[in-house]
Amino acid sequence: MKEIIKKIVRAQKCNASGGQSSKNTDDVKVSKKLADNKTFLKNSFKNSTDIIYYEFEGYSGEKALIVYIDGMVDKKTLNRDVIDPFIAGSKEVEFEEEFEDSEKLKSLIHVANIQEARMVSEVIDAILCGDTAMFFEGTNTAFIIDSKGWEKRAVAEPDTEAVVRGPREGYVESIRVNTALLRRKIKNVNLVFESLKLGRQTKTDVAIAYIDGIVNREVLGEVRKRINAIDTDSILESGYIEQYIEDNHFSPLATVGNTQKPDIVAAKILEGRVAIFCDGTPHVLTVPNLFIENIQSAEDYYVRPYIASILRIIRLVSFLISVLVPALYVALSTYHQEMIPSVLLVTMAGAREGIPLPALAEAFLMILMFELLRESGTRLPRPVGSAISIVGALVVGEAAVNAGLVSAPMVIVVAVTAVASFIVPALTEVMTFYRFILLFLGGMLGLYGITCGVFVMVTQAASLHSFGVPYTSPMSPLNLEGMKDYGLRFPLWSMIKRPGSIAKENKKRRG
Amino acid sequence: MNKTAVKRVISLILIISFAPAASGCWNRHELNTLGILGALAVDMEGEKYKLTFEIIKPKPAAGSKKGGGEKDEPVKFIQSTGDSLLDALRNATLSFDRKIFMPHAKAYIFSEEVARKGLLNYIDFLQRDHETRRTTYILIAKGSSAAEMLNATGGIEDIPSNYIERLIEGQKFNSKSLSIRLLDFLKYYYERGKQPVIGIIQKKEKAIKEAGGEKGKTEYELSVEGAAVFFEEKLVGFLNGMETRGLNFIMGKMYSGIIVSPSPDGEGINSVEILTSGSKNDVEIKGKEAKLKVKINITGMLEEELAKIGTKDPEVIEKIEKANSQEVKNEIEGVIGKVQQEYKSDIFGFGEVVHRKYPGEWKKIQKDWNDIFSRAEVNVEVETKITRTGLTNDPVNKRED
Repeated sequence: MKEIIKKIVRAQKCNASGGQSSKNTDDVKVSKKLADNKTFLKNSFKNSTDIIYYEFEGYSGEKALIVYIDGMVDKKTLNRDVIDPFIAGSKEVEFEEEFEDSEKLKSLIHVANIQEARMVSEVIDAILCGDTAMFFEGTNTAFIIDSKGWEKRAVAEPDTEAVVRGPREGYVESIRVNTALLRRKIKNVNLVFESLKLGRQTKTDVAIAYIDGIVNREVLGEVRKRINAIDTDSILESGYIEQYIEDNHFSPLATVGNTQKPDIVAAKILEGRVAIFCDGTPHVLTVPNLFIENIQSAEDYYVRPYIASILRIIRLVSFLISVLVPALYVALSTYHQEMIPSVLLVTMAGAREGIPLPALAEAFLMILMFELLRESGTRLPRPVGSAISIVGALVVGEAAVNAGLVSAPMVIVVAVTAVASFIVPALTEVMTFYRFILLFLGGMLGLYGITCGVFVMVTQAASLHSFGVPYTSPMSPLNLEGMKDYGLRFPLWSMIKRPGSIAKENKKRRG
Repeated sequence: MNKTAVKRVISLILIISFAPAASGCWNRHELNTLGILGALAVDMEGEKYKLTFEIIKPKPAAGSKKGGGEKDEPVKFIQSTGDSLLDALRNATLSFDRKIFMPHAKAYIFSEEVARKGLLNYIDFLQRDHETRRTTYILIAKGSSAAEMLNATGGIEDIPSNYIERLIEGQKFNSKSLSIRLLDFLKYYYERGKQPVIGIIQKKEKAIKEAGGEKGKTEYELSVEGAAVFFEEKLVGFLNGMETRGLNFIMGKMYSGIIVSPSPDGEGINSVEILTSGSKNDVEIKGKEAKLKVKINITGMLEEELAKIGTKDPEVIEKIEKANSQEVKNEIEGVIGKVQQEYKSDIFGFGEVVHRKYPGEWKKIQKDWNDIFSRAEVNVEVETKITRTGLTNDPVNKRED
């Protein structure tokens, strides 16, 4: 199947190339004449109406052109700190007839971040990012003034990763805010952000974050290599990047992790991982992503070790429950009735009396029903969502049993499965996938089928690598230092080294 | 797609299509097609096998109880006859609508007649089939037919087979019965130096009527007191409750029990509850004569003392211990004597001891062992240690005058 898909992709690539030719703006320099610059920009932007061109004459007679995108700049800054000084004039800076001294001009602009650009393409990119471009008659450099200021969502607690103990702040859609949130956690010169732009059309800002000296060099090199190899029109969410750089596109288990919380990202890059920030989304990617990271929660490290360990074991068990219980129920009740305790068997048989469907079909329908309810509940606005859950609970739980369509134990099994599947949010989709496969295997072949299915799944997981790190480490290959943070969360003081499967240099955390 | 990929896909499809074949017996049965067997009773009817099945009815869900005060019977009885056990089993489906599901059977009950003819003809199927379990209890119905045992309920359990199972498991409280599984019977049978014993079950008229029971109607309950003694595969006789307890002492299967002995000084009696009991059997062989030695160690707790002698004095305790030991000794000598004289069947497993101790001689005397056993001299030693005397030292009937 891989081969077929690769072939199709290759065929499409051939068609696509040639359609996108690079524009001729690449080698055009900023002109000394304002009018030329203006016309060129207007042509480049195809007279798009959200681009504002503002020409004015300053106190000393200097002619200037300001170009920006409406809605992306902070107009207060622009008016007060950029335009006002020129119009009001300044005693310190006296201009001769020629306005060529860019240093003098620059000193009039009261903004911290000003860059000079000589190429029009640079200017265009900057304008697209929300900066303001400023041209002067007679100078062949343009000023790129950092005046970004658009509507942003406030930093808030993410819905999906709520904690009882721990920081509540979560990432937002702006990459600058996000990197700053991380910098506030790690005040260290070694925290490095490498910026690049991805997406031929979208030109999305992407930043690779790591801590120099701790990061696993091989992983970092691999991340750079894979990100640079991305060649696509658009990056609208970090999920796009994830799907381009992940190790195995056909594996249900994700080899790239994501989170919305700065404290989690900080902890991960302190273990030697690499984080990838993408503008326009609160989801930050972290690599390598190992299986156990799905089970870990930020809170595990903030509460005391006993309770953290218990919770983590509960999460592991609930993963197994969610994946296996419907399949085991169907397999035991249709093939291996001798394995069910007598008293339970009699009760179960009583509940199944008069149920028209075979157990497999019953289980399938109930789980499908649950998935429908879950999906409809997720996308709907809150008030309607609760209506759905009432209908679901009443119709599925109560009416179906009373009507004799579904047996009560099956409802319990599906309910337990559903509850368990929410305990590990990172794996919910994977669990659904596995659950259906095992359910069919269990319903067709009994425990033998389940055993085969689990065998294949475990083998597949063990064969995965995430950026060169085995997916199932530190369990396999065994790494004792890493096992301190596996099923049991050892006390923080006992975790002297960073997890050995990831950190290769500067291994010591303490002591 | 290249050739190796095609090969891979084809082999994958082949593997998947072969997978169902490897799963063995294709025995998919929905729960509502099964008749769960609770207990099986085996009788003879002329030359034919007559089986009685107790099928447990699926318990209706608590919420969906039908109205009306009429109580639903929890089980259904089916009878069928056939030329062999399996034949009779299959004949049951002629008149019963569900597949009889055997793994959950609690007990197989064989009638006395069947047992006297020889059990082996009946249990081959039970130990061969994949659906039956060897850990199911087996019982011999004493006095009446095996089928009759199934419809007497004297306990709390609604389901007769559960009632029977609980009775068998009560062995650990009274030690006057045996809990023998099919597996144990086969083990005893194949061991040369030990003859089989099986628990028994009998129907008794109830001494006290049920509350609200009909007048004039006799009510029955079951009792598992006693044991059935076999020689090879055939039933040769029974032991009563006390004799069975002696047997349990020797076999080391005493888990609890009350020994009542006359008080050494006074005129009353003492009851000692057995906490632990260990046995050590030994045999000495001289030519064709054997000497059987049984050594029992008991720790007990004095539970009743009705002789007006306080138990503060260690000497008194010592006396009680002796009396208790004597009582147990009599019991054991009694049961060995009875088996030696009446049944000539070494149900205690002394032959095993000989086999281990004198492997060479055992080969010579193996065939005559049961004769040698029945002639053998018996030496029983019992030692009792009373470790606790309850919450008080003085008996309740002792008054300070």
